[in-house]
Amino acid sequence: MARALPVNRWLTAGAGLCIGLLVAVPVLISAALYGADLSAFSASALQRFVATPGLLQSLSYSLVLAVVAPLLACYVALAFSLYRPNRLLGWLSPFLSIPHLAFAVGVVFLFSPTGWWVRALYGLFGVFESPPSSALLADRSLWTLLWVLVLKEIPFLLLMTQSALTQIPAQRYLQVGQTLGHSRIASWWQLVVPELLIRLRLPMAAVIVYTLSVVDVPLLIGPNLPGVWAQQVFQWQQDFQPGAQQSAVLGGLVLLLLAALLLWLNRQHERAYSALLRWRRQSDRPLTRWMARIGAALQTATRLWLPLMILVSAGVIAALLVWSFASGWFYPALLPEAFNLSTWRSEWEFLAPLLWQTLSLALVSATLGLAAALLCLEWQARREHYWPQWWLLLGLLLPQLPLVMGWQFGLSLFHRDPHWGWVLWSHSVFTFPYAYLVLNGDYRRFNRRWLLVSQSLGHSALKSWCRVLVPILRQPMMYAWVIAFSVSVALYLPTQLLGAGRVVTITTEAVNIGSGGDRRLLGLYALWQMLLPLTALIIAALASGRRRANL
Amino acid sequence: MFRFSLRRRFNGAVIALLALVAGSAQAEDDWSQVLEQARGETVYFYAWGGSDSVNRYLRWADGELRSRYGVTLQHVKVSDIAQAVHRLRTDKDAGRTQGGAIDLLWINGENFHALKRDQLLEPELLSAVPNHTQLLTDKLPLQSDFGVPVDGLEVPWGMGQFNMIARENTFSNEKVTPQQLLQYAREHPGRLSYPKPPDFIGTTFLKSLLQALAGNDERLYQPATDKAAAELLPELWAYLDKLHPLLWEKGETFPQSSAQQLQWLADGQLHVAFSFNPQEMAAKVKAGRLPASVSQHYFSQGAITNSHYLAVPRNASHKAAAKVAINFLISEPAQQRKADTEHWGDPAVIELPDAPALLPTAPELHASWQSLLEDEWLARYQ
Repeated sequence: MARALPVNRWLTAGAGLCIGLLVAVPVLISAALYGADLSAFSASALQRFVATPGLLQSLSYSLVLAVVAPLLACYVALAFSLYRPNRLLGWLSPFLSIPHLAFAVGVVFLFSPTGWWVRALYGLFGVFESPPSSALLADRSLWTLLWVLVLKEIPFLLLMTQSALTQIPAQRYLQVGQTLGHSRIASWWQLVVPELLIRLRLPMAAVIVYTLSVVDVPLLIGPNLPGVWAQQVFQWQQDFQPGAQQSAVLGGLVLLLLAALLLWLNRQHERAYSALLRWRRQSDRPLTRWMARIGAALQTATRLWLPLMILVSAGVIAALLVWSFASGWFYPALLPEAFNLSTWRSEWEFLAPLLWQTLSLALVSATLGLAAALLCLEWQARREHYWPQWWLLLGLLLPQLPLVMGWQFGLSLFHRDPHWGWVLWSHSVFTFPYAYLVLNGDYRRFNRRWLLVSQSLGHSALKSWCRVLVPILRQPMMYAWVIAFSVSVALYLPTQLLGAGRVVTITTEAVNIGSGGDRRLLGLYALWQMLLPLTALIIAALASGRRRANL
Repeated sequence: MFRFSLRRRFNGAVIALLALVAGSAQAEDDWSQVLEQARGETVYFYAWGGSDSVNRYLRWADGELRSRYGVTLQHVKVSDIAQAVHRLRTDKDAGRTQGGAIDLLWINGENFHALKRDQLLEPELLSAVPNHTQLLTDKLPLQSDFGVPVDGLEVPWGMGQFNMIARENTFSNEKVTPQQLLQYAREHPGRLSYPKPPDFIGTTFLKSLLQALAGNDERLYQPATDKAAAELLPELWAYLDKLHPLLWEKGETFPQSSAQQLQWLADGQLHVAFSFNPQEMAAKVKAGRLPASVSQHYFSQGAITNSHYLAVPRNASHKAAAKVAINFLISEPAQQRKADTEHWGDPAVIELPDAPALLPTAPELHASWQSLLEDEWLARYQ
């Protein structure tokens, strides 16, 4: 087959530059510094590290979290995808854009022992005159952390499942299964899901590594005696006690090993699933009735996910809004004594520059990330040769903390002060792989003959690309941009470590305020952290809608 | 003999007076130079950012410094000032003796101890700011920071007193003993907790308990020795072993900070919260963040009292502006506003008209006990 479009020099240079700056350099810097640090290790440092109080418990927290949360989210997403409600994608995008942190703050406002849920029970039935000692979710616990992460990861995995479903003839599989006498549900789980799991390998890897290395959310709602492993490493990193730095480096190394182990397990996931199916088929015994019932009930229960998520998200927004306007609000009052604008009025002056800072970082880094993803995809498409994906997605597959620690050390080695530019670069390192991951499936499936047709009509390569490919792939591009935008808004570690308090975004400030405990301020900041990506989403939707109307 | 001595005294006095006049003229000259140099500079002030009243106060100070001296005060919020200490150490290892990122620090205790030991602080800072003459050095314990002499390396900024804020009917008396606390925990399981050490308020809670349980043993005020630790600490751990199962979440998780503890007190999840600011309760009630029915308490041996300080790193980039900021922060208008419960409510370090009386004081432990307590606590309970 003839090449659709020639590989031109500029494209090669551009793609090379993107990969160099956004994949190779960041990884190599950290690797080099790690190598240097580790070569200077002493036995006493190792001893101190091993003697860390709560070491094993902390590690096991992280392992449990990074295994259970992604798996739960994955299976809910798979089960839910069977129904494919109309306009699911339309519903997904707002959920996707909600930052984890704001969501966590809101969920705690709703379900903690003094949250709205308990207050409502008091209002209705007069129970819990003083707050119960345990409720659905404690203010801080592994359980709370787990649920927040599960709920928040489902939309992303759903989006990726939808994308994977367009790559396989799922409906035909279902029909075949049903003609062979299986139920629709059974055909889904036995024929479609194994195929989906293979295609979900990379998104799952991204979710697993995120869960393993996230720091800001556990800082706010996670357990702290001990905390999850990433939190422990972060604390060492911030500590000045002799030896803390060495422990941080070793801790980062352990984080990398955990990630490697979990990614290996992730690779075994689809095999284990197929093996399970084979074993079931061979064992020849039908499912016991109660097991079948439980399965069917669970399957049906996932139907509730969408209404539940809508309800929770609306509740989250309402709780954040009400807190930001509250004055004097004590348990068990359902609503504050009075509403006023004082928090907004007194904070706005300081919030506004933060919002600009966050917005400018997110706009530029999301656009850079998307452009880099497009460059790399187009270059590969023209060469008709694709690199192994994990290679380009290294930014997502390596735990954030050791990576960013390496950059920070590099900067201080060269006497570089915290600067907007460094933070922007660090954001782009993460917006690029997300944009790439979201765009990848649709981009590759795009029928490049259209470009050839356009060129044969006399258009230039660039013009054909802009006039033919862009309109067709507008929606995935929009998703990629919005996700990259929300990733940048929500990035905590790179902003905190490279910005060092000088470059501050709504997210670093929200974590700061979270440690101060003022719910009204936290409500206001979390609300804005949530509103920024939503605004971006609306703008993107409007822009693409208008273009569509014009066509 | 008498006359001779009188004359000598007179001569001495004249010389001293002359020297004083000349010296103060010299000092004034120096200071106007500092002011000149500072104009247009930005001070990067690394300070704990976990309290919105402090943050708001610093925003006000920024406005004042801009309009009075053309100096911008940029509050770099850190969740623990140890991060700044870490940064200075990294600078030192990288051989960065100038052009550092930090101009001004808010510190005390072990952080000061560490920076002093490593000689990372600007010397003779105290005498370099003219307003240091206003400081109540005679009345307040400002000369030593957690048992470590200040030596002019830092300038007192405010005072802290460890106190408890309780919901009504929690304690019958203003003074509370560890036994009463334990008794309350038995009667109301799950309603007490404390900020997780090494949060400094959590650690001060441990210190207060230790003070009470060890009967104010004088070894607590000297550098900690293994022997003293082995003799004094077991009683504290025995007490905590009894207390922890009765705490919030059975002592398996703790509030991350005193601010979180205060929020949970406001929610009614906890019945007691701690503070290092004797005016915090009044300020929070005024701001509608705590119900009006709460009351203030302190441990029966007195409230552990210490001071907090401002210091300038040796490698700071804007030393002149940092000194101007310090001089303003210990001036009367700034201290007055800081002491006002409408704003922050932190006790002043200079004489103010109608300043509220401090709580009965108990001395701060020697700085070396801090990390000892924290490390042992983590080893036992984490």
